[in-house]
Amino acid sequence: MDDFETAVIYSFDPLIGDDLKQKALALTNSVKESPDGWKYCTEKLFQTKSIHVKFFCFHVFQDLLLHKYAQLNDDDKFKLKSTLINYLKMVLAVQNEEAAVKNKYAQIVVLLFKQEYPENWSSFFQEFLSLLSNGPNLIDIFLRVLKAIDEEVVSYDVHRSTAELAHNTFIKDTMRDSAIKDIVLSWYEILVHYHQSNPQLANMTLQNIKYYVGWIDINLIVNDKFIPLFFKLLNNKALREEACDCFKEIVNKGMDSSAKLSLIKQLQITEIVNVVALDDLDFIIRVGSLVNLTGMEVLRGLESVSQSQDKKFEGGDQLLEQMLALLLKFMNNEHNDVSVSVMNFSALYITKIIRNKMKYSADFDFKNIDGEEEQQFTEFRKDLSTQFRNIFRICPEMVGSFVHNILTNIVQDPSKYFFTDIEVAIYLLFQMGEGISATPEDTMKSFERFFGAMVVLLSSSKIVENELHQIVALIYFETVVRYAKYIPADAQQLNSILMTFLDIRGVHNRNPVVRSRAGYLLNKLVKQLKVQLFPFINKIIESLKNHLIISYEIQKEVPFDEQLNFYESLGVLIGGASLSPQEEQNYVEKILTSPYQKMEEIITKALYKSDTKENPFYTTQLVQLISVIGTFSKGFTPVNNSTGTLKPEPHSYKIYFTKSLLLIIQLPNLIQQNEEIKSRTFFYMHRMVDCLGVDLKPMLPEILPTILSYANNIPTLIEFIMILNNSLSSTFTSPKNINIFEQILSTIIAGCTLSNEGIQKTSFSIIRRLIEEYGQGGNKPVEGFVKFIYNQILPICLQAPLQPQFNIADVASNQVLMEIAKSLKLIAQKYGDEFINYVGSAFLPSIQIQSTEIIQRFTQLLLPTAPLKDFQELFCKSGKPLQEEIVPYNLLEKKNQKMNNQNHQNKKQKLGNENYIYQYDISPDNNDRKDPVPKNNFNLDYNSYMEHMFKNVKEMEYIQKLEEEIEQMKIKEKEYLYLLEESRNQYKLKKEKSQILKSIIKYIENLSQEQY
Amino acid sequence: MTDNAIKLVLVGDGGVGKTTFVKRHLTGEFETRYIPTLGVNVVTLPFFTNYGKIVYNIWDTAGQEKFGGLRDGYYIQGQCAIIMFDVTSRVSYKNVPNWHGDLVRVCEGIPIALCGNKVDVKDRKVKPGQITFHRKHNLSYYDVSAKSNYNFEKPFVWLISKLLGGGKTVTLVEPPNLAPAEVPLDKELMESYERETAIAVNLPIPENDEDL
Repeated sequence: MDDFETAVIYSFDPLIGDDLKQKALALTNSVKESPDGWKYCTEKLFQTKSIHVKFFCFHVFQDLLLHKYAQLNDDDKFKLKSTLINYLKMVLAVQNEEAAVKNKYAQIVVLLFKQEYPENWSSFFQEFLSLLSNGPNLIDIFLRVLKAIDEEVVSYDVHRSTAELAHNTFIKDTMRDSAIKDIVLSWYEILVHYHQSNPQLANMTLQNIKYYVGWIDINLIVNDKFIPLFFKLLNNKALREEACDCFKEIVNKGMDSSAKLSLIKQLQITEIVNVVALDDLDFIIRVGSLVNLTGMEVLRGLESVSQSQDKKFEGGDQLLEQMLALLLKFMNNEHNDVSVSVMNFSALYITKIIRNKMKYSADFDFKNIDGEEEQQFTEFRKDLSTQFRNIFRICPEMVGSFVHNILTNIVQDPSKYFFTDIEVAIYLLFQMGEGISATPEDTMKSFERFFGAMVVLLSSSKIVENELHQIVALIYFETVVRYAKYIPADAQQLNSILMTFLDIRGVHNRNPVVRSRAGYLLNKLVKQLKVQLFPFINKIIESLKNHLIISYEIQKEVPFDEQLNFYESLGVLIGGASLSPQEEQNYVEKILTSPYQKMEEIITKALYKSDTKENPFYTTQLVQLISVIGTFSKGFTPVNNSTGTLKPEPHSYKIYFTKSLLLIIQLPNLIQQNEEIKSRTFFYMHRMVDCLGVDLKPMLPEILPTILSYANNIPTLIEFIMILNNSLSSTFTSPKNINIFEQILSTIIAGCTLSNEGIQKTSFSIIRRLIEEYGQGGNKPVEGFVKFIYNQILPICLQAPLQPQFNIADVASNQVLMEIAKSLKLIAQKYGDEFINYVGSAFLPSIQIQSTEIIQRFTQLLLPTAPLKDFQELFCKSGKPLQEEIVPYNLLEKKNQKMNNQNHQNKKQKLGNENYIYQYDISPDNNDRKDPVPKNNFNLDYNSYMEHMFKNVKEMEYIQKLEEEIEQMKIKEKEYLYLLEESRNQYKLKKEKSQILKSIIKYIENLSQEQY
Repeated sequence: MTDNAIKLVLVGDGGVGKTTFVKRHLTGEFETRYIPTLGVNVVTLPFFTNYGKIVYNIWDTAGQEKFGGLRDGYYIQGQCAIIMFDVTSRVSYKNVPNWHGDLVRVCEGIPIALCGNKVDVKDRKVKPGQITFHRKHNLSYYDVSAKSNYNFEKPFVWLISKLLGGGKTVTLVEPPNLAPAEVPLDKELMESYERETAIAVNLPIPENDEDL
């Protein structure tokens, strides 16, 4: 070993010390970097015994071939080539080198081959083939070179530049034309001669075949020479796995469907399983994988030949049956790995069955989809869809290629298919989108592109012709909208998709169901794609212009609801396009001129007056015109939706909407007592809050009275107020509008005591916002607002929860209470002690709350530190003390009456459940009515609560006894009264009697006087 | 470096964490004379198994692209290998076939473990279900996290069982002496990865579908 070799070995040796290693590296690098260093290596390669030195030499050649080859002159190139050939003949042919050296050599030879073949080294293969007779060593190298060609020229595993790919294709083409036949022949010879004596060579040959079969003429392999040989090798334990893989690659080769089916039939794959010994798990999995691929190819092949009559495949069903028998056999294997190996086949088979079962049958009645059988089928279809989505989740690629295949088959010639075939294919595409969210992120990404491509494919095909059944068109439009986001941003493709919506396939379809759905879905499409579709605006307007006319004649064909969709779509497109003011105005004018003029005419000429109850022709038109202008306005806001910033002034669209508003606002006055006119007017004003923003301000004095006098729906009104409040709150409180402001406030106060907790809650939350905004220290303090707080807000805060229907145990009521609590605390926060003192010393006593304890407790709740939930406790935990406190104030009368009317049993229950407390305290040991407040009203802990309950029961028994006594006394009273009456009567009688007697006596006296 | 030790070649793109990974083992003898230009660093790691003490010489090759293609000299006489990629870097997984090709050219038929490092990082890009290369080429795959010691010993134990042959079940009788974890590991996340991996094992390997 010379210094150089030692240096190389040291450089690869981690045990060598630093200094030495640096010296070694200096020497080896000098060879590497010297321009003629490689020539030194051409000699060294032959002399050295060290594998490291051999590798070093090959590395130098590799560097030369990859980076410096262009700089070499012909002599140098020849020198390099002859070195490699000589090394083959003189070294590799003679001694069996280590595999690492042989592989490295093959790699370097192929790098040279790539530089020289075919132009300067067309005889490359002939030279190698002529050497094979030298024996196994050379055959071994040749097979490794062929493998390296696959790695460096063919394989797609490694990323390559386009230029390199083109060059590689050229090499492959040349090989196909001039060398492959001989190479294949050599493979055959090697297999025949060495399959027993040198299985390693045979295996390498089989691997070569496996790699090459995909790109060479299949007939070179699938013939009477090779196939029987493969079958023979399947029984050779050392070779059977590679032989099996050869079959797999043959089946995998891309070709026409019927050719593929013939090939599979010819290969007799089903026979293989009978021939081989399934005695080893790894081998069974290999065969399983072959069965899997063959099965899938049979299914795919049958799928595409089934439609083409001219290419009908004989014996296809039989082939499938054989494959299914194998599927069951492998699926059922005791080892899971074997089952997994055939899983794609089974999934594809089931997918195909699901597709078949999903097809609408001939007797499905589309006009009666609610029929019993129809509904049953629809349910069944849903279940199948779930199954399909599950399979998609497990085998996304398989399902993707299945759907792709059927769709591409269909679009080639849709006339060959039944409409049910086409519908189900698109339906599956749609269902994939429903299942995609369950797959990993990367799968989702790749399928987004797939969905976009499929939508483009469908739209450019003839499947959406209006002659086809409506369900095809319906599922088509649904699917386009479903995948709208994934449609490639290509003007031509977008145009072809959009046209399916706009022409006789869509909104001009003769079938009203399709037309209606297409219009609805066009609107959804527009909302999703917006800006992308704007470039087609003129086409869209042109297509829709007739559909936009608000007239009875047009509506006989295109109902008003459909017309609304079109107005909305156009609004979204024009409003979202960020146009120049002039352009925008032009487009708005184009759409709105006609409805505006119509409306103006009906109003100024008072045409609506000719309407009758039976035929409200003009009123209906007005309602529709308001609706379309309002709906169109949905696309327009002063804010740019994509950036969130205000659009630059002027906002030209506002002119038309303002003009319309001034007309519309008069309508509730002009056409009175018409709910539809009212509600549409309200709708329009609502729209204008969004659409006009602050520009609505100057018109408020005109608008607000109308709203207040015609709004009979408080929730809507409140909603409106809230929107106004958000965007325009300063307007409310301008001196001009202060009266209106008061009106609005009283509307909200009225909302606080409505028997709808939702409205109550909203009302209180508006109140809180008003306090925040207009109260002391708010953004827009309003003079005199404090009076409103004391006179209206505070009382309503107590009145609302004291209403009989307010039930604190109910969640909704509880939420209202929380809103109240927040409001009260906010007031206390803003007005401080002044407010708290007022509540304690003036307000609560004024509503008959005298107990200092309750007053103190209540005022404490108003302090910022008191938790909100304490309000609940005050109102519920220990038995509605406040309600009871205020009973004399409003409810005492009713309650007493009620109590007297109920029987004792009921009373008992009620008392037990609600922990009721009488305002007159009667207890066995204290029969004193002077103190109206029970002593222990605020029991918070459980024990005293129970004690209290117990006391109540005792009280109840006592009351019951008392009442019984009263009852008895009443009876006695009656008796006494009766007796009294009796005695009175008797007295009367006696009195009368005595008077009569007196008279008689007098008479007798008189008589006797006369006698005397 | 010990003679009679098993030569393990550790390869993978630069930055995937090969060096951090081997340095977790505290009893490892580090080759202090690390020469960057040479592109290799050898670490000796002992493992105490039910089949006795096994010592690896781990050839931690630096992923220096400048010498791309020339580095396979270090693989000579490699007895087993780990190909490492970074689960937060898709390209490092895409390059796995290149590393594999280079490895098997020089070391035909050696056992190779594939390791996806940095699974502790929340923003994982290469998901368990997407890692299929090992299934087509008979490698064994492990999620690992050098910084949290997660699964550190797994590839080494598997490689020992392959080298011993005969389907032997190898277990460690002494846990490896590892530096304390630098980052806490989200146990639930790891369990979910393990579940995904378990599911992925039972899924068919996707075909190369060029339409998608």
